[in-house]
Amino acid sequence: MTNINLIEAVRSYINRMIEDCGPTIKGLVMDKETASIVSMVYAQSEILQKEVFLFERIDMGGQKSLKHLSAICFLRPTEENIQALVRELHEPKYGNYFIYFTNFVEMSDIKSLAEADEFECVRVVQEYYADYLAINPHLYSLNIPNTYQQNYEWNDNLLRRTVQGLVSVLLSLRKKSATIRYQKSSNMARILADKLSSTLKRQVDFTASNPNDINQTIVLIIDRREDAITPLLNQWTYQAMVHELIGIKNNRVNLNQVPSITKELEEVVMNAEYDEFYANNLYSNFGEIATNIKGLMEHFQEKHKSQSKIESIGDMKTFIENYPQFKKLSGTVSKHVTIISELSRLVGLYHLLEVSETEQHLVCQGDHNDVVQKIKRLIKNDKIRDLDILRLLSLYALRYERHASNELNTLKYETQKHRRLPEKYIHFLQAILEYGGLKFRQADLFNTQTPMAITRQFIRGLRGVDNVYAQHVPLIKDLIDQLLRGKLKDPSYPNVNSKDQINQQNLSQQQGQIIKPSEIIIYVIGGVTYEESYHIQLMNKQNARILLGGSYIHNCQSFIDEVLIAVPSSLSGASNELLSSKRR
Amino acid sequence: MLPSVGDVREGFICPQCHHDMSTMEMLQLHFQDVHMKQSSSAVKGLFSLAKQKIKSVQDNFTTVPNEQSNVYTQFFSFDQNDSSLKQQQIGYIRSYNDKFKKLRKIEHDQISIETTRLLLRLEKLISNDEDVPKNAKTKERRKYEQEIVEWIDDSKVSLCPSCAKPFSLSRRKHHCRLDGFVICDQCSQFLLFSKARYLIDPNSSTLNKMTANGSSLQGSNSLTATVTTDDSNLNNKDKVNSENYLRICLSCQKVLQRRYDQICFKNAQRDEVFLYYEKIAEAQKELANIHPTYSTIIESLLSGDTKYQIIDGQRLYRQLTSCYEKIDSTSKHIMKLADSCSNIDEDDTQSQFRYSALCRNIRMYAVHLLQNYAISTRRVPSEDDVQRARDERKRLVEERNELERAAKAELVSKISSTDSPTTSKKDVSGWRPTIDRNLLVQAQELNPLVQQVYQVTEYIRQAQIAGRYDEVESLKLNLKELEQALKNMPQQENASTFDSYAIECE
Repeated sequence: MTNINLIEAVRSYINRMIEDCGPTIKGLVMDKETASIVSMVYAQSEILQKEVFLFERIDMGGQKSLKHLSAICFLRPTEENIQALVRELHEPKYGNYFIYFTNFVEMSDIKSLAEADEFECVRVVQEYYADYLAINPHLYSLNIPNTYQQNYEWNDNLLRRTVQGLVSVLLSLRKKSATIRYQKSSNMARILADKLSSTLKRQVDFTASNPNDINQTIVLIIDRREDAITPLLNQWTYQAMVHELIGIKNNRVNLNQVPSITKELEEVVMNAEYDEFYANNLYSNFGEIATNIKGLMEHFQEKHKSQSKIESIGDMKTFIENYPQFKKLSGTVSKHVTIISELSRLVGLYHLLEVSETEQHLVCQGDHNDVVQKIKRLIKNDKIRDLDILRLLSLYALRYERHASNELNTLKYETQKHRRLPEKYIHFLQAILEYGGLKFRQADLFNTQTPMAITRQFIRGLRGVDNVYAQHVPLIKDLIDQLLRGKLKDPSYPNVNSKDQINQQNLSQQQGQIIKPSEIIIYVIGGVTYEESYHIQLMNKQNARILLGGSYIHNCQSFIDEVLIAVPSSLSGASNELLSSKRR
Repeated sequence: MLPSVGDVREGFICPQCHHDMSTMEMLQLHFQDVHMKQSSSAVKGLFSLAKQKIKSVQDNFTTVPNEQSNVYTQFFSFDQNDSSLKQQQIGYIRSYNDKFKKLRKIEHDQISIETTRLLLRLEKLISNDEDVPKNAKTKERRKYEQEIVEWIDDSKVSLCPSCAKPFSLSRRKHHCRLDGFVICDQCSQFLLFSKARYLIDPNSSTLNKMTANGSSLQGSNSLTATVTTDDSNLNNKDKVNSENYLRICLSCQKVLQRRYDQICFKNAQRDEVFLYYEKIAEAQKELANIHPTYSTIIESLLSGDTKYQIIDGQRLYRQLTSCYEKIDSTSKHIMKLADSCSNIDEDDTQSQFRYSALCRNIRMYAVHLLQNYAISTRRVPSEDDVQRARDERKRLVEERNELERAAKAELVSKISSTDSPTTSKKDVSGWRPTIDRNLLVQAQELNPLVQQVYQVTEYIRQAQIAGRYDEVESLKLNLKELEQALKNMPQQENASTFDSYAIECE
C-alpha cells in the first residue's frame, strides 16, 4: 500500500519543471519562500546533476545578459513577485522563461506579464501547487512563526497565505474537494474553514468532480490553543529532541553553540531524504539512538580500518571505489555523533530526565501535593534551567487552574526567591492561561473531567508505563481516534460544507454508518510539534492515512514567543504591574 | 539568502586533511604517504567521548517493541487494489500557456503594425536610389520627405508636445521625418542612416559587428543620439563621413528602439561559457557511448576470453582518457572564467556573482561527472595479465574436463547405463552444473539449508570455470539469500562451519 507522501508530491512538481525545460543549461529563480520549499525536498548537488547551474533569487539584479540560459522561475504569486517578473521581462537576462506559480494567479497578472513580454521569451506559464514546506512524508508546515495577532484574530495576509497553503496541499495530492470540519470554539478555525471551502468551490476547473470519486478527504482544522501543553513538554524522540534542544530550521541545524565545535560542523543539514541514519532514527527514543549510533560508529571504524590499510594496487582500487561512500559515511557519522553527544551533554547538564519525569507526572497522573513538592525541589536546584521551571509552572497553571488549593502563587514566590526569571517568562505565565486556559479550552486535556476520561486514564495507568518520559499522548491523537470512530461531536467540530451534504451525512449517521474518509488532512492553527508528528507517524505505520500540518513546527522557545505576541495588550500591562509588585 | 555555492568544496579532496589534491593519482599518493600510518586520533577521541556519554543515558530508556498491526485499515476507504493509486501521481497542474500567448499576441500586434508602418517609411527615406535627393538641407529633399510622410500643419502648434515649452524665434519648430509631428530641436532624436539600414535588414548591414556583441542589451546601447550630447559630434561626423541622419520624435524613437533591442536580443552572441559547456556536453555524450563497451571488453579480457584483443581495449581507453581530459580541462577553463568575469561592468557585482557561480557550478558538475565515470574505469590489463588469464582459463577448462571424465567414469561404474543420455547431453550451449558426490555425502548430515549452501557454492565454482558470468551473478545472489537465512537460524555451529567453508571457497 502506498502512503500519500508530501515530499514526493513536491519533488514530482520540481522534477517536471526541470524536465519540461529540456537539456540545456538552466537557472532556478526563486523567492525566499520557494527557496525553502525546494531545499526541503532536493539537495542542491542533486539538482546540479540535472544541469541546473544557477540558483538565485528573483530580486537579484545585475545587467549582464545570459541569453543562452533558460530560467525556471518557481515563485509564489505575490504582488512583488509579479512586479519583479514584469521588470525582468522588460529587460530579460535569460533567453527563455519557464514560469511556475505555486498557487492561483489572477488573470490580470497574467495580462501584465503578457504585456511585459515584448521579447517573447516566456515559454510556459503554469500553476504547480507546491506551496508548503514538506518536512516529512506526512508532515507539512507553512512556516508562519506567529499566526495570532492581538486578541487572536486573523491578519488578512496570513489568512490568505494559510488558505493557499491548504488548497495547495489538496491539489498537489490530486484532491479537488474535501469535507472540512473545524473546531467550533475557535473563531479563527471557523473563518479559515469557510474561506477554504469557498476558495475550493470557486475553482471551477478543479471542482468538476469525478462521479466515481466517493473517496472523501476530511480536512480537520484545529486551534493550537485547545492543546497548549504538548509544546511545553520535553521531548525524547530524535527529531523532536534535536528541535527542542538545538533547533531545526528548514532541515538545517546550527551547532555553533556546541563547545569546541569544528568549523565544518557549525551548521549541518539534517534531511531524512538524504541521510539514512537520520531517516531510520527520526522516531527512535533517546535510548535507541544511543544504541544505534554505537552500531554506526563501529561500522565506520571497521570501514576506516580497512580504508587506511592500503598495501597493494588492489587495495588502492577498492579505496578509490569505496571512497565516495566512505566520505559520505564519515560525514554522517561525525554529524550524528556530534549531535547526539551534544544532546546527552545538555540532558545531563540540565537534569532534563528529572525535569521530564516531573512534567509527565504532572500532566498524566498528578497527585497535587506530590507535584507541588517536586516542583519546589526543582526550583531550588540551580542546575535546572529557568526555561524548564517555566515549563513546569505553566503546566501546573494549566492543570490546576481552578483547583481548590491552587498554589501557583506560592510556587511563583518560591521561584522569585531562588532565581530571577526573565521578565518575558513572567509575562508568559499570565499569557498561557489566556491562550489555552479553561476560558477557551473545551477538550478534557488532562482526562479529569468526565468519569469516562478518568477511567481511561486509570486504565492507562494500570497497563503500566513503558517509558516514564513519554506517557503523555497529545490531544490530536484522541481527536483523530474520535473522528475515525464517528464520535467527534458535530456541535463541537461542525462541517462547513453545504446543507445537502450535511443532510446526507446525518442520514447515513442515523443509519449507523460512518463515512470512511480516504485520508485525513489536519491543519493546526498556531503550529504543530514533532511529538504530534511522531504519534501520527505511528498511526500511519498501522495503515492510517493522515497528514499533519500547521502554521509552524514549534519547539518550546518558539511557542513561548508566539504565545507572548498574541497576548491581548491589556494583559501584558497587568503582568507588568504584577512583576513590579513582586520585585518590591 | 541562498547558500553560496562557492563554499562547497568538491573534487579530489583528502578526507582527513581537506587538501585539494586536484587529481585522483595525487590523492592516492597523498593518502598513502601522509595518512596511512597515522590512525585518525581526532575521530577516535570524539568517539570515546561520545561513547562515555551515551552509555549513561542508555540505561534510562527501555526500547518499546514495535507493534506492527494494521488496526487503522478499517477506518479508511482506501482501495488497496486500485492500481491507479499504487504510485503517487503528480499533483494537479493548471496551464496558462494558451491564454498567455493570446494576450501577448493581442498586445503586441498593435505595436508590430506600428513598427512595420514606420519601417516602411524609413526604408523609402533612406533609399539609395539615384532620383532620391541626398542633401538634407535642400528643398528637393524636403519635398521628397513630405511625399512619404505628410507633415502636419505647424501653424496651430504653439507648444512643443514633448517638453511643453513655447516655440519662439530661438526655439524653432521641427518636423519628425517619420510621423510628421512637430517638435523642438531639443526634443529631437537623430537616427543615422547606417543604423536605420541595420534596423531594416540586420543581416546585411555592416553595423552587425558593432552591435552584435550584445552583452549589454540595455542602457548604454541607444539607437539614436540627442542634440545636447551628440550635436557637435554628429556635425563633425557629417563633415567627415558625410553620413546622413533623420530627425525623429521621441515616440517614433521608442518604437524603433524596441525593434532594435529585439534584434540585438535575438543576435546576442553566445557567451564563452556556453561554447565551452557545449564541448563538455559533447564529451559527456561520447563517454556515455564508449564506456559500456569498454567495460565489457575489459571484463572479457580479464576472464581470458579471446573475443577481444588488448589493442581494442587500449584504443577505447585512449578515447576515454581524451574525453576525461577534455571535460577536465574545459571545466577548469570555465572555472578560470569565474574570476575574470570578462565583459561585465566592474560595479555590476550581482552579475559578477551570478557569472562566477555559474562557472563554479559547471566545474562542480564536471568533477562529479569525472568521479562517476573515472572510478568505474579500470586500466587496460597488460599483455602478461591477459596471457595469464587465458592460461588460467585453459587450465581450468582442462581440469574440468578431467573432472568430468573422472566423474563420468565413476558414475558409469556405480550406476547402471540408464544415466548415459544425461551425460552425453553435455554440449557447449547447454552448460549445467554438476555436484560433487563426495560433498553431498558430507552434507547429508548437515542441515538442509547448509546443504543448499554447499551446492550453490559448488555451482558457482563450476560456473566460474565455465566462464558463465551471468550465471555466477545470479547464483551469488542465491547464496547471499541462503546466508541470510542461515544467519537467522539459532544453531550457531552450523553457521560457523558454513562460514569457514565460505572463506575457503573465496
